Amino acid sequence: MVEKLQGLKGSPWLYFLSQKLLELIVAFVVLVAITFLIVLLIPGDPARVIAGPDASQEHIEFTRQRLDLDLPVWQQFWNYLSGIFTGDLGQSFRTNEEVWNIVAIRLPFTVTIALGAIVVAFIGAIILGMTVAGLTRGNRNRWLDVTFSWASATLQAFPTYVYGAILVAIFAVALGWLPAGGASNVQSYILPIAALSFGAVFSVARIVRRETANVLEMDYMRTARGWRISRLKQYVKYALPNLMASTLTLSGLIFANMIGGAVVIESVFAWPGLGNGVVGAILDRDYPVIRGIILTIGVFAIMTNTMIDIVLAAFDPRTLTAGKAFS
Amino acid sequence: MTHRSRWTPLLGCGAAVALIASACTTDDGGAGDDANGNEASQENPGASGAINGPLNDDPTTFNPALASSLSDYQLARLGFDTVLRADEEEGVIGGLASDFEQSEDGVELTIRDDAYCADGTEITPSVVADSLSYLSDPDTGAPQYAQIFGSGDVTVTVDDDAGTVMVELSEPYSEITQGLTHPASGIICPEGLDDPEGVDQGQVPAAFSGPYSMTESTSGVEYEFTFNEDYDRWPQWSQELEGHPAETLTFVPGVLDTSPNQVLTGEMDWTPVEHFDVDRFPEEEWNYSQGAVGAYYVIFNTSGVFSDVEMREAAAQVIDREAFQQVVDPTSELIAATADAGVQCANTDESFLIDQDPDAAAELLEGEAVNIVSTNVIGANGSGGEYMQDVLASAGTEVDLNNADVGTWLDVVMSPEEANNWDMTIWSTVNVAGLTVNGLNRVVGPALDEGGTSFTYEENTDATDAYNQALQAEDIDEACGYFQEAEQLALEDIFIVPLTDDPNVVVSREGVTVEHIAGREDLSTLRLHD
Amino acid sequence: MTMANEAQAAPTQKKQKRRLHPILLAGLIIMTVVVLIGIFAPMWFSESANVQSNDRRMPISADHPLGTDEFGRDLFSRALVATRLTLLLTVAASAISVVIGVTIGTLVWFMPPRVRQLIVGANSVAVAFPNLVIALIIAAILGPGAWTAAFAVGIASVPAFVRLTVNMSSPIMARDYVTTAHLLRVSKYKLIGRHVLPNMAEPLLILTASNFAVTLVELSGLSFIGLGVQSPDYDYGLLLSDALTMIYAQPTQVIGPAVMIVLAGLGAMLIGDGLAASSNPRTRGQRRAMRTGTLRPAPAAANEQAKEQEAAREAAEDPEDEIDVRVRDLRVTAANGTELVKGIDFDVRRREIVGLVGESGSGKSLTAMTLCGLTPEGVTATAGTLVAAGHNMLEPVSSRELAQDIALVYQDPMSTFNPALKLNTQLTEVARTHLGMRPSRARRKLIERFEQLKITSPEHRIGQHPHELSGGMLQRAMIASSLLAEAKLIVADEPTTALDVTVQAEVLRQFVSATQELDASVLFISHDLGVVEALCDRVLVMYRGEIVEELTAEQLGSRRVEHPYTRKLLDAAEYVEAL
Repeated sequence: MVEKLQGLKGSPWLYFLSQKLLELIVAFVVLVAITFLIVLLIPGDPARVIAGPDASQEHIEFTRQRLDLDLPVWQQFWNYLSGIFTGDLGQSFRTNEEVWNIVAIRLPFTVTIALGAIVVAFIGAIILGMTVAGLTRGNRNRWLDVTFSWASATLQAFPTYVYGAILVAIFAVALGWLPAGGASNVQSYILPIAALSFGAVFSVARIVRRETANVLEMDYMRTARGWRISRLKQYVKYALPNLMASTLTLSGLIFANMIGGAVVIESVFAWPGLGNGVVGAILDRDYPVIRGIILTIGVFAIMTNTMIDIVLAAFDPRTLTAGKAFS
Repeated sequence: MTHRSRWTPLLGCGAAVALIASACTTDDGGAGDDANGNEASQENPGASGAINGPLNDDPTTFNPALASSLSDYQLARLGFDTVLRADEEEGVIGGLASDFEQSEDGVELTIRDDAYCADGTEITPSVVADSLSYLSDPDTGAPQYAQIFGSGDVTVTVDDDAGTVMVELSEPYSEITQGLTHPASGIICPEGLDDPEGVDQGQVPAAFSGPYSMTESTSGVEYEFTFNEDYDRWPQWSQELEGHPAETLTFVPGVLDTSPNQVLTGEMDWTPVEHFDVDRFPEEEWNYSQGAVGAYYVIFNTSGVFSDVEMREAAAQVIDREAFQQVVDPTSELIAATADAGVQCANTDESFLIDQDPDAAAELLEGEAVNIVSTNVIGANGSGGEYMQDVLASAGTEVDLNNADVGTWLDVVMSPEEANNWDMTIWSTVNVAGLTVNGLNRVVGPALDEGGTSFTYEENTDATDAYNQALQAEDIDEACGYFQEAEQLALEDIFIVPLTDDPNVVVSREGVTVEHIAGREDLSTLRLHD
Repeated sequence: MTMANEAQAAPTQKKQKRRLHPILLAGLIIMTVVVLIGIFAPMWFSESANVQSNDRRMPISADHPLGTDEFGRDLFSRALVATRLTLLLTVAASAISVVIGVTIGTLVWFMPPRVRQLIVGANSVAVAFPNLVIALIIAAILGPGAWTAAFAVGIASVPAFVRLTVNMSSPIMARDYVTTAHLLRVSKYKLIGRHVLPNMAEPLLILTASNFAVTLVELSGLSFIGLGVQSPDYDYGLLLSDALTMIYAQPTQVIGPAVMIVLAGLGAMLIGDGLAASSNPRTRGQRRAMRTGTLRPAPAAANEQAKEQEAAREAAEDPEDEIDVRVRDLRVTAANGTELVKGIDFDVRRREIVGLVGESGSGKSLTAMTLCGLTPEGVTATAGTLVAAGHNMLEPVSSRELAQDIALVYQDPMSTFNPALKLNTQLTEVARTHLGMRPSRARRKLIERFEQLKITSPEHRIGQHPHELSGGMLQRAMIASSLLAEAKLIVADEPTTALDVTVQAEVLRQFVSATQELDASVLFISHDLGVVEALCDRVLVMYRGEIVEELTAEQLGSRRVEHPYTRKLLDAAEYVEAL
């Protein structure tokens, strides 16, 4: 890849990267517009919700003015837009705290468990998937084939929050080995990551296994066998890189789903992440926080997507030229 | 009460609305008060140790004057002393005020001369007056203004020589003394009044007047309070507290779904628990304290099918509050009007309730269309609303149940424009100061569309008269008679169907206690026992 | 092209195609059960599922197999009755994603390229956005409820279907007949209906089935966090949410909805798996549990076998004899029992170039691969004697020796190289792994060999990926790697077939000079008699798994052939030349 970058001028990389940058910008603009609009569509008057049930009508009006909700929509949008470009996401309706601050506190909690889960899921899935594919190649070990199909499908069909609840019941409440909730220390990360990655291990392993089976059929794997290198080396050095393309593409989707899954799993573990933040903010009609969090998740999604495209191109340079129209 | 799901803290407990917050703490009937057995010295033996516990959700502000959620109140109680305090037996006792004198015009407070702010500034009558002026200033926009001061204007005057502060009300409000026990009326020290925004964020150390100062906060993650060393003016409650206050209190917000587990695993020291978790904490091993947050009752909207009192009676005939209690929270207490037993003037006379008669009811209700709007925080997944839908459907009505989240629900019941879109709702009060008006004001006086607070729309003039007389009473005893009369009249006209209280049960590990004072949780009573 | 395909070529598939794949069958059975529950449970169980009683929060009992909830309603019945709503919502959500996704995904092909690029670009961002968060927002906007949840989850999956449709339809749209149809001004809708959609039907079906399972879980997740189905309606998610609330008080409550959600998800997933397996030619026909890809001694009589083994050992041990390859009674059998190579015998002497000719499917590649100890998957092989490069292949031989002594050059250079790795990494593998060369030395050596084979700017080339080189260049690179390892036996399986005619000659010339330099013997497989004639000392003609004729180059040159098949081959070759 370094060599690639050295020869950047006139190379497909220049076109590729500029294309990606353009995509990034377009996506960001769309995201900003959408985050502003969706929030307005959520029913329920934020002023009333923020003021509480016992607030008088005057107090609700007072709150509405304080929150700038009495301004015309275009002006609200202008405030939002100019805020974004000056790095100001506004303040929470509910706590008056800087949205930046809320996001900055919550984002690492979500990213660590999502990232942790995806790493666990991928390492687990690659080992499991390739092992099963290797053991069942050419109709060997049919029992394993069948067992794997059923077991992985069953385990994958379980919602993550059920895993979460069961893990807590066993490892926190019954055995007392790990914290039951919150993010107070390093051990508290174990259960959320486990719950989040457990189903994913199997869904990714199924794909890895299928892809491995395909790759093993490839002529270049025959070539590698012809070199009489060990099976482990065949798999790790010659098969794995070819799985990476499809697996990485998939990882973008899985990562997105991990963030989504985190939304649910965070509530099981009372995890102070973005998921709990956005659900709470939706219920509170806390527009700036909803926008801030959705925007953050969106930027994260865009960046992940772009990064994966770039890594993918580095892994498999064919995509540089081939994937112009669609990625 | 139960909240909708232990697994959805932000839904069930985390929302901004104080109401939701209330929905998250529960009671159970069972447990005893291990803490207050004996007379132990109320003197502060010196604070030490730490207590770790949960909060419903992030506080919306650390400024007591702007407090609007249960977490705000809980923490305001720690950082800011109020002039008056509630008491189990006396009703209201002194706080920062050593004495008080209620009159038609308001209340005169005699401020104690041994009170100091966290930074050592003396809390003089002027300091108290300035803080109360700030609280009652319309520009402050105190959400709890009406609960504390009633509907009129407030004039605060100070007599430094006599050491008194006079709170004058332009509209009579007989519950003013009760109102001034509200944690939102906590006194902010002078430096805080100079920087209200700083107080909002909890960043003015000299603003604190209570036993604790907030020393650290990470929103959404943890709040830490540290004991103010010289503090020793605990209220002279009729129930005495054993043990000593902790040097440090930490609170983790938004964890009520997991906190019972965390108490069991030793990560936390105390937690509110739901009725279904009570069995996990055997009474022999755990300390219990119980109280309530507010009350549940049905309110009929008289603009539609329930304009006719007979229809309301029929509906009341099918609603079985004991069944409701079993569905929503078996450990709750039944109520007989609009407030729980912790509220001084609550009607307890059950003879005003409508007897069950489903058969008679069915004759009238058959074929009628009823729109129920309720919220999914009442009972697990909104089982409270589901119960209402079920009994009315059994009586032959076409029921449309809108079991919405709190925001949507409030929007429906509190918007006069929506008056024709619902026929009945389960109202849920958050009554931290134990006020009779909180709750009763939803069924008497002018309706929402006339600038009032009543949801019933048709004004119940008799009950309203009694209510107004109660407000004008010179003291609470006189007021109570009128309040109860108002409640009974509302019951006679079947504007409401009383259901249960919204219970709050707190469990703490051995060696830690926390009390409900006059039925309301008070975190300043958190004590360690060596 | 691959061995496996050759093995599959046996004409035995017609009958099997009708039968359902067992995984698909299992999935269909489970799904049918779930659907039947969805249809009938509300008719039979709604009384106990929905009507309140005073048996509240009961544990498991004979009357209530899973206990009761706070309303005294039977939890077993509720889990069953919830099936209908759950299925309806999941189907609705899936339908929304499929219909909208496929519509957008195909319509973009009729838009100007710029617009298409914009839509596809925006879509790729939308795909990366967490489904559940999209669903959350939509559910919040529309207000929580069963159908809004279905709509929300359905919309959230649209981008995934758009992407897949675009990706799947792009090769179809590029096909000539679609282009032609477009030029002929056939209406767009006809075009989609007739050409595009039918071609995508199968992969779409598979994706839809797997997506069904995902949708199921997402819907339940929405109900779980309170933005999905609202009471008094209930789906699995809401029941699970209730149950998990009570997990410590009444742990059995979780069983009903958990089992049902897993059952429904499992059914859908197995259907997807089964469909995928049925559509994949690799797995379609295989059902018998038979181990393939093996090479064993022929099951001959014991003393005979011993004798043959002895002969093999002799051949292996006696360098004087100069036998590099000896094959006796080699049989290759497909998994379905068809014999593809029917007991052939031949030898290759040191420095001899032997051609093996025959049409595709005649078993020549199978023979070559088996000879090298690389019996392909899908077939099994037995042999009386099998010696390659002086090694007895029926006994364990160290992989170092095999790798060093036997070099293989394959037909399609584009597919025999690993696309993900640089040439240097691949071509020096044997030298580094088996000859213990240090990477820098192997690299230097490879460069030398590249130079020798007249590959331009070798330093640059070895750092490139296979796709950056032409086929002829790659084939020369492969030959270079056999030079590097100093192989004794080179097995070349149609090394020039995939190349341009002009390149062919050059590559062949280099191939010959390489083998001469190595003093290696060669087994050269081809269907091109002209090439074989020019190159080989001896030619074996293979037809339907048998060697039908053995010819010297001379005999072939003078057309003195006997077998009618050889004759035909010759005729064909001459015909092509005449053209």
